Amino acid sequence: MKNMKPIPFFQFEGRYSGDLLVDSAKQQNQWRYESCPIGGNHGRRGYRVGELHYYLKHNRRNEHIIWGGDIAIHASVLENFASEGFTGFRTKPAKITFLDGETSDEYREFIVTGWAGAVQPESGMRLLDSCAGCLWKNYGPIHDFTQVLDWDQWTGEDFFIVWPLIGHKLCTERVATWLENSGIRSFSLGRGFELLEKKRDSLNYGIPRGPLSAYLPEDLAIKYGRPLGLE
Amino acid sequence: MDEIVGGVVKRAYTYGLQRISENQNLSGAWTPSFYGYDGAGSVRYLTSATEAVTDTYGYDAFGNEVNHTGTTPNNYLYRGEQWDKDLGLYYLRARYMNPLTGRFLSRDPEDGDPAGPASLHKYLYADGEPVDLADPSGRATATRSASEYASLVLSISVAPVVINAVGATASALLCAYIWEGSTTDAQAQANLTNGYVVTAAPCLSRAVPGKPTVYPLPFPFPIVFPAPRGPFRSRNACDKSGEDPEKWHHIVPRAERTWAEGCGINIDQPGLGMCIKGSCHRRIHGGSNGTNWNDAWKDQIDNVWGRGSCPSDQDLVGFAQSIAVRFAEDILCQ
Repeated sequence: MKNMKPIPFFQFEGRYSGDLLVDSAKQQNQWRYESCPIGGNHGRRGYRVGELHYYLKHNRRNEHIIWGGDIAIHASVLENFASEGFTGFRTKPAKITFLDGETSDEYREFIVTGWAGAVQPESGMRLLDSCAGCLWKNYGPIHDFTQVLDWDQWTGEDFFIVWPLIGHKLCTERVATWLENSGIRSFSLGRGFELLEKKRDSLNYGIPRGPLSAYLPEDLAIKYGRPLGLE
Repeated sequence: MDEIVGGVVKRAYTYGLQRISENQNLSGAWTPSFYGYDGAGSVRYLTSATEAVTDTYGYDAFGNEVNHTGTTPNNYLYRGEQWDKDLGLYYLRARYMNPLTGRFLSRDPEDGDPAGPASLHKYLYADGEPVDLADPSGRATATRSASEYASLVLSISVAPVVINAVGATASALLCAYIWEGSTTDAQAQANLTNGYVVTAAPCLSRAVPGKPTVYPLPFPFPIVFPAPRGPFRSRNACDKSGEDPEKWHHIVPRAERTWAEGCGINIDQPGLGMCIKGSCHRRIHGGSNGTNWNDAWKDQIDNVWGRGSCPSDQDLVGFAQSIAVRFAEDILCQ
């Protein structure tokens, strides 16, 4: 039975504009890729080695949120998150190296851990392919963005993700309001999935995913993934 | 999800990534049934809690039931959609569809795509191609699976190449794959067995003058192979003469070389690059529509695919085509 009424939510993402982005080439040295152990004919799977270390193409110390595939946030912002009582994230050590070569350890990797379950089938998204050997899955496009979220699966946390759209971080209205009034510049906010809808074509080319443990801390991957076979 | 009749729960459905089971009160006993789907998402059988097949279903192309065994009440059938037995219609959200006629009951709320004439029909289901296509929203025909994408998308190096539309009439040309060394369809096919990638970007751009359009795959029109021309030539064939010599443009940006290599993608292969004028090349990398080529790739890799999740060959090529269309004006310096 559906009990939870939909709430206003926002998509929280980076500003994909040239100089603000991390240097992909240097970032990639931290990744290792492996083929499917049973020789499945699908994309490989990668994992990051060691702590997050982003190299920036600028020297702007006031960019307090750094976006790559992962997110690094300055400790001062995280302190504000904590004092505001925001939930749905964990942090890990991270390093940021600016263009001038200075490396800062004042940033933390920001891992969104709030959970809104899996995308509803009513959205039109389908599991297209899966591999038993490495738990690789590939999902199809979304046809109805209003049907993506099943609020009964939401853990009620301020920052949250929905499987398999884990690259698209979501947040509650109170977080969005705080961010907009914070003076922090390095992010974009879109109501609902409006940002994603604008580039919906990008979802036409598969959403490949490994097991949930590749994206969430192990305890949460077990807790959320086991019932859905995503662990 | 529960189905309630007169304030009483009649059925409960369990969902994972798709509908997994229904549990219903039959003669006073709650009875679970588990759905078995075919590759098109249609329910082909139900099983009991003891894994015994209780019901089987068969359909024609538009979802009319052609055979059915078993008596378990079940409303979800063709394409996994809800069948309203009182109306004799499938509920497809924006509209109801009548499988006897292959038509929707009401007009299409969307305008349709001028480049895809079938989509302009106001009542036609799935562009009249229900075997290959579907319309789960009642608003837009959607391809069913990645395997169908693969049938039209040329693949890179490792996967077999299948091109359904080769041999289609040239008079229907709205767009062309331009293939070096191919002057006939047969030659193009022969070359394609070597596994190169080409994109149709310039043609798509011209199909709707002034409005580059990103088309979903498969393209809604035939693909033909004219004589080699345009930007899709080999690197050595780039014209280095004149005031604006051509540059080799990597379709997968060099900034993503390490990611690509990790994923087993050789960004230097001939099919993943094109010759374009130096000034056009600067435009592509200098910004268009608020972003530039490299950032668009980075967005896709970081947020959609995930840096730790490599796309399939078909999806890589599909995205390469889509982004080429998106930047078509820059590629052509128009």
